[in-house]
Amino acid sequence: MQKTGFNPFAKRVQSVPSELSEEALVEALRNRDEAAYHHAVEKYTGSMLATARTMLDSAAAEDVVQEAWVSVMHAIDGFEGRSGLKAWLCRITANKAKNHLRKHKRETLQDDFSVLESDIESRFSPDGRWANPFHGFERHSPSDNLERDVMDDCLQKHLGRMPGEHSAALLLTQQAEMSKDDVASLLGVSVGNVRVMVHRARQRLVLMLERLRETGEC
Amino acid sequence: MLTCREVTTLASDFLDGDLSLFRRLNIRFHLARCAGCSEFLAGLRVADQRADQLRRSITRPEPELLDRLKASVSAGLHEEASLAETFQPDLEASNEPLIEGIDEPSDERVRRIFDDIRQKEGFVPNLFRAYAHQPDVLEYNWQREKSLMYGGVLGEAFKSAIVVVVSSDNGCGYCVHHHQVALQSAGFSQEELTALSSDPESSRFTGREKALLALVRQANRDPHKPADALLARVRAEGATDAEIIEAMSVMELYSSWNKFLDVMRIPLETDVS
Repeated sequence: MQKTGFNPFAKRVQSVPSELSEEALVEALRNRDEAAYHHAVEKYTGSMLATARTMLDSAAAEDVVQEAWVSVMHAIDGFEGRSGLKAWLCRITANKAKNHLRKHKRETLQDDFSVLESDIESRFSPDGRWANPFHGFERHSPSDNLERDVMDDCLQKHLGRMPGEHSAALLLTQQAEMSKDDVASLLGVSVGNVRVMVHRARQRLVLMLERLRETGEC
Repeated sequence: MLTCREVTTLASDFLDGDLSLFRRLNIRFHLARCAGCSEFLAGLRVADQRADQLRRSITRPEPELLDRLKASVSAGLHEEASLAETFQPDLEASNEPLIEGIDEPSDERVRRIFDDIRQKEGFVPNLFRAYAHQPDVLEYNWQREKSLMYGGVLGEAFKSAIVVVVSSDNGCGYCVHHHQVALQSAGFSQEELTALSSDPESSRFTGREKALLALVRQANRDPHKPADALLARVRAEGATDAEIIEAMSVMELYSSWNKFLDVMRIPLETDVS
């Protein structure tokens, strides 16, 4: 039997004009417009993936972005537009990524808010001077003699080993359009915490660069 | 004058311009005289640049990923549309109940059960007034409600949340209303109630409760779909067998009442808010 009557979920697949305003796009997403979802996937997946990749490897990040899009369909009715669609989508992604870290027992943010890595702390003498200073960073980059992919592999490995929030804080603040305030709200921590986490992440990478240069080991 | 350790502590803030002018000048003064700290700062800069290069090289999504995401979003939309279609209201249909409920029972057993219901719920819902035409059926349905919703191992508010989610998926306004009222008196705001069915993962419940909600929701919506992954999540969150059985039973009881209420067109009680 032919069903008639109003169906709020009726699909309206049309082509979506690329200059569609954000408001119109949100409205179309609320109306379950399939073309609008495809348009949004094209437009925002890059930012969402970038967010997830700051905490997760490539395969896990892709899974998390897929989960995030499924949540968007359920959550879009509650989207209030205060933060902008992209920021909202990235926040959903960041929350999913943090859940993923917790579920897979990767080291996450704990009570450790020391500003210095212990392997750097131990290089000072009791009077606060360097006992064992770093060398060779100023004159030439430690990667000068290293293959780019060896360096990248090693960086990825070390970014993946530090607490997820530390790598996220470092890589998110590097995005030109993200302020530390934005990163703090995305990660659900204070701006002060973001600054500490960025510093901790950089220190771990300095230690990694030194070791790679001196021993060739990652 | 700052020590090397202090400069090292402030180094990222210095690089990022997050320090006061006074602090910055102090650090510049120190760096002009300290090779160790200058090296460390150079190291931080190199680390930052390398990480930034890596970040830029890995963030572009592959076309295959975009296709997969579009397919997954489309599948989700189609599933939602087909669920909505199942619950198309027939606008021509009457709103009159098929069978009037019993207001003043003459049967002694029914009167006793009504008293028990009144004591627990404060009034006799029209659902039980309809069941009262068959006292055996009334008795076991009330027993199930009483033992499941007023006893058991799971929290009462959480069980009302199961009822709201399952009944809203099944389009049963009667059950949704009653249990939203229960949640409101347990301190839930209107926003939380609205979000409960659309995004249960963001609700105030614990990880274990959210996992149970996801399990019973799929069991109700799609009982033939394998539930192994959802069950594994429930177990990973630490739910006991008793909790799993109880949550499933609440779903089972209310999904059957949803159908009964809907088909019999049992109206909400007008004199009870």
